Amino acid sequence: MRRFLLLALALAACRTDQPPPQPEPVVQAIPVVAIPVASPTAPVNEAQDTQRVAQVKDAIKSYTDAMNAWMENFRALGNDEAARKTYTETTPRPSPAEAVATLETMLAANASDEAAYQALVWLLRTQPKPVHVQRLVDNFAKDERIADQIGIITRADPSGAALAKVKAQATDRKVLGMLAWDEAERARRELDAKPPTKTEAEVLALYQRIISEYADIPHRRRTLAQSAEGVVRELTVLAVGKVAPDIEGEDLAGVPFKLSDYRGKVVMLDFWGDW
Amino acid sequence: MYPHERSLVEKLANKPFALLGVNSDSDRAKILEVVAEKQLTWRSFWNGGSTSGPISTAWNVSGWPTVYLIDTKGVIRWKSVGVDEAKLDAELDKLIQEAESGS
Repeated sequence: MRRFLLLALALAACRTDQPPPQPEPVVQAIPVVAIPVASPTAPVNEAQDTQRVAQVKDAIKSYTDAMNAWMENFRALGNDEAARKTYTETTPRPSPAEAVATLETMLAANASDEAAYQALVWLLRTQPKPVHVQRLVDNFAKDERIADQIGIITRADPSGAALAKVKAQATDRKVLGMLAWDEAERARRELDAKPPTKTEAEVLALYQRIISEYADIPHRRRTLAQSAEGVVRELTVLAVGKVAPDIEGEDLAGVPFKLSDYRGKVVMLDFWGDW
Repeated sequence: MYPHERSLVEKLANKPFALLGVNSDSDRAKILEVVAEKQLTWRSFWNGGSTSGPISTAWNVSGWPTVYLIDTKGVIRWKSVGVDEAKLDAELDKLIQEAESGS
């Protein structure tokens, strides 16, 4: 599924809340065990904090610059599969190891300042480890920005222990909304389990709750209501067995046409892009 | 996936079958070049130049490629995010057979 992967890369590149191009990190199931994490707290010193934030940014930037250059060369090869293969085999992707080591050293010194927050967010997307999830929830569970980290916390700690900590301390509406979204998305995936462990009605109720209680919360350049309504539509009118909603549009050359023009034929509808 | 799509279009040329795309590229001129160069003979809707265009939004598509199979009566029969070509072929064969037997 090369095209699929490439889109993931492309999307990662244009999302502002993510570090530049890298595939969705392959997150292993990491058991979060209750090891007390040393979080030495340095005395608050504004100048020092600013300096640490700059250090974190530099460490991340040197890696992302190398990665962007690598990706640019890769993209320049266009659709030439053979050339792409040779390139990936002869020019290894830049490794984040150095940046990771720098940030981990900084976290050992202080895991609760702004620099630590930025380091943890990046590490969780790059090399998630139980200790990072734990540090994040121990030090930043009450920070409203944790709303943007709910998905990564769930993926990095499937046991749910880290998420439970966030939930227990959540009061911010955005955080609560994102927790509700995360719960609904997990329940939706249960529909595919064999046998399903959730009913469709249960899953739909979770999305309906989001629509009624957290409609206005920003989500993926839209709102939680729009995202939830999209899923509800997918589970209802776009379900297998339902008549496909018509599409009225124009082709690439600008000629108008409709999906229903092809009634009477078996239609393979392919959502694609040349990326 | 282009080679597989081209082979489907060729294989099913005389069958009640149509491959339709919804293209979410941003540069229309560039995609027209790709279409010509790669001989993508099937028709595609223009999704407004974005993965969050009107059609992919209406269909709540968030992974690419996403494929829907729709039968002769317009009923959605199969969908998949990411495509397993063998599975797709099997489902397609089933629907074409059904269409040809008139059921």
